[in-house]
This record gives sequence, C-alpha cells and structure tokens, in this order.
Amino acid sequence: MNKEERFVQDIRRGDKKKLEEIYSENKAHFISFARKYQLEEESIKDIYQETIIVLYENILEGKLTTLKSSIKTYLFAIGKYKLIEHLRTIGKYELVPFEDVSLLDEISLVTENVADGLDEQTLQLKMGYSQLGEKCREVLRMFYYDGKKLAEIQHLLGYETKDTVKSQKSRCIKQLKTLVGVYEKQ
Amino acid sequence: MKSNKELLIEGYFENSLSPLEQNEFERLLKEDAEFAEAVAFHKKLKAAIRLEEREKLKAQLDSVDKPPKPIYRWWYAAAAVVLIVTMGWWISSQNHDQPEDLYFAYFEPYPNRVKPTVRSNNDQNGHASQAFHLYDQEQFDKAATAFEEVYKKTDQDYALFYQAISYMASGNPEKAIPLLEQHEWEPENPYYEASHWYMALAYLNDQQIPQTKSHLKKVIDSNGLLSGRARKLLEEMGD
Repeated sequence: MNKEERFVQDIRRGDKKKLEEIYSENKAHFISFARKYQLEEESIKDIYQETIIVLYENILEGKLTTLKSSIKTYLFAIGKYKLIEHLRTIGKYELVPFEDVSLLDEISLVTENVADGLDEQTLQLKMGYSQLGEKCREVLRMFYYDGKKLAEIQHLLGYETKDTVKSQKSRCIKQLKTLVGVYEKQ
Repeated sequence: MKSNKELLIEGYFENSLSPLEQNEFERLLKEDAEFAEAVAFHKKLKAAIRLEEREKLKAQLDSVDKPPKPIYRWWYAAAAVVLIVTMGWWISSQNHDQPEDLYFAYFEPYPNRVKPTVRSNNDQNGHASQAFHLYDQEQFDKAATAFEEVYKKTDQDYALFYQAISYMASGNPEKAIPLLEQHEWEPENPYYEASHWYMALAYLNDQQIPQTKSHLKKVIDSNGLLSGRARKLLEEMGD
C-alpha cells in the first residue's frame, strides 16, 4: 500500500488528524499559487478550506479509492476548480485557463452547492441536528455524510445487528423531527 | 410507510439499489406523493447534516491555523508577566534611573559667580567673601553657615541661594528645600532658573516626583542655560 492509499484509508476510517496534516502541508503552496489571481487573503483561505472539504467528501463517498496521482495533485486540481468557480461568481472568469480537465473527470466536483435551494426546513434540520445527542449525531453523520452503509455502521459502532442500527437511526430522526416540529404522518 | 418503501429510500441513500429497485424508486417518486415527500425530507436532512459537518470541519481547519489557547497556557502567560515585571523591577533597581541616582548624576554645585576669590581681598568684603572662599574650597558645611550669616545681615537673595547649594553639596539636600521655597524667585531674578533647578534636584533626591517635575518645567520654560539639562532629566525620569 502506498502513501496515498494509506491516506485514503485513514480518512475513510475517520482519521481527521490526517486531513489536518494534508491541510497544513499544502497551505503555503496553495496560497502562493492562488495569489496570482489577485484575491483577498481571506477568500483564498476560504477557498483552500473548501478544497480540503471537497477532497475529504470525495474520499468519504468512495470517489477517490484508486489514486493515479498524488494527493497534492488532486488537491490542487480541486483547488483550481474552486478558484475558477469563485472567479466566475465575482466576474473575473476570463483570467483563468484551466489545463487539468482530465484530472477533474476523476473526481466529483458536482458537490451539490448546498447554498442553493436552502429552504427553511433544511436550516431548521441543521439546527436540530446540532442539538441532538452525540450518539444520534454519530449514526446520522455516518449514514448521510460519511456515506456509510448500515452494515458498515453496525461494524464500526459494534451493534449486534443491522436492524439495531436501523431502529437507532429511526429513533434519532424521530427525535430530530420533534425538535424541529415536524410530525410524522401515521 | 411500508417497510419496502423505507428500504428503497435507505438503498437510495446507500447507493445500493439494484436496477430493478431503482426503477421502482423512480416510479414511486412520480406516483406516490407520500413517498416523494419522504424522499424530499431525507434529502433535506442529508443537506442539513452536510452543512453542519462542513461548518465543523471548517472550524477545525481554522483551529489548525490558529492553535487553540488551551487553558493551561494562561499560567505560562501569567508566569511570563511575573518574570518580566520582576526583571523590570530588578533592572530598574539596578540602573541609574532611580531618583537618588539621577540626583547624583545631575547635581553639581552652582559655580561661584558672585565673588570669585582670585585675590586675597577678604578683609574688604568681610563675611560674604569668606563664605565664597569656603565654597570654592569645597568646605560646604562651613560655607552653609557662613552664607546663613551673610543672609541674616544683608538679606541678599544670592546668600540664601548659595546657602541652599552648600547644604546640597554637603549632602543635606533636604535642608535646601525649605530655604529655596521660602523665597519668591521672580522670573527676572538672576537666580530664578538656577533656584528652580536646584529645588527640582532636592525634591528628586527626596523622591518627590511631582514637585521635581513641576520645577523642571519652570526651568525648561525659562529657556536659559539649564533648560537643556532639565529637559534631559525629565526624559530620563520617564516623562
């Protein structure tokens, strides 16, 4: 197993320290790279953090299992895409040529822009989720964010059966609905 | 909701639907309003959780940039402050910014500008010449007494002035203060500037800083020979 594969495995196991390491190791390089586009330091930092998050989510969702390039190459490919996206929104798109299109095919950048279509209920659910107990948040996070299957969650959390996970998840959703005032139709 | 519908939703979010199940999922989404509503809810839930988790991750990355200040660090800071204060106190106690040291750095007897004893004409001018002679001989104790006599007899302010300086030069600056303070030194008096200068120094030796500064300011304002020195002293006192 090479360094990249080990990294992916660590991330999938939930080792966020590894993500912090990647973040720190590449930060200075990314910032000096992004400065070419005359962006404010604060925007560059935001873009870089979002880039790291996209990398993280891609690994969680299993889109980066076989790595053909180094983590850094992927990171910068995502980062460039994020920069373009940002420049487009502020109307400076023509500044940016993008040469690594092939690399982009390997990673999913169609991470639904969460800011779009954010309705009142989603915001309430977000609030309710943060108020749930740690056990509930863990199960829900694993299922909805980490993209883990119920069987995997069963193993990771040491539940007896898949059904136990399932009922635990249902209980948590019910609790969340109560928190935000949504009642299930019987 | 029937459990097979729940399974379909579960499989949809697990990405584990078979092609057949996928078709069933699509069909229900179109035809079953309740099912569609449930799917929409789960999608919102997924979006909500993602939002929250991203925010948490971003905060975590921020904390990598700025390492948090753990509680135990406060006492490092406190210890550093104590150390700095202690060192500062020690250093200031060692160097000559202390009032007494400044006093000795700045004090020197005022030159004899009244009766330079170049000739032995003591008899001619009596007590005054005698006093200045002692002064020039640096017998300041005796000079102080002699000037006191002269002042009593003549009421000349120069005698009062030199009596005070003699006290200071003989190591009794505290005796100079009431002498110099008792007299009204008018700005046109030739001893105006010097008297304020020596009052400042006497107060400085006595660690009476506000009085020292107030007299130094008068010296500076008079723009005379001593104003430069007064300004420098004021700076060294940290004003």
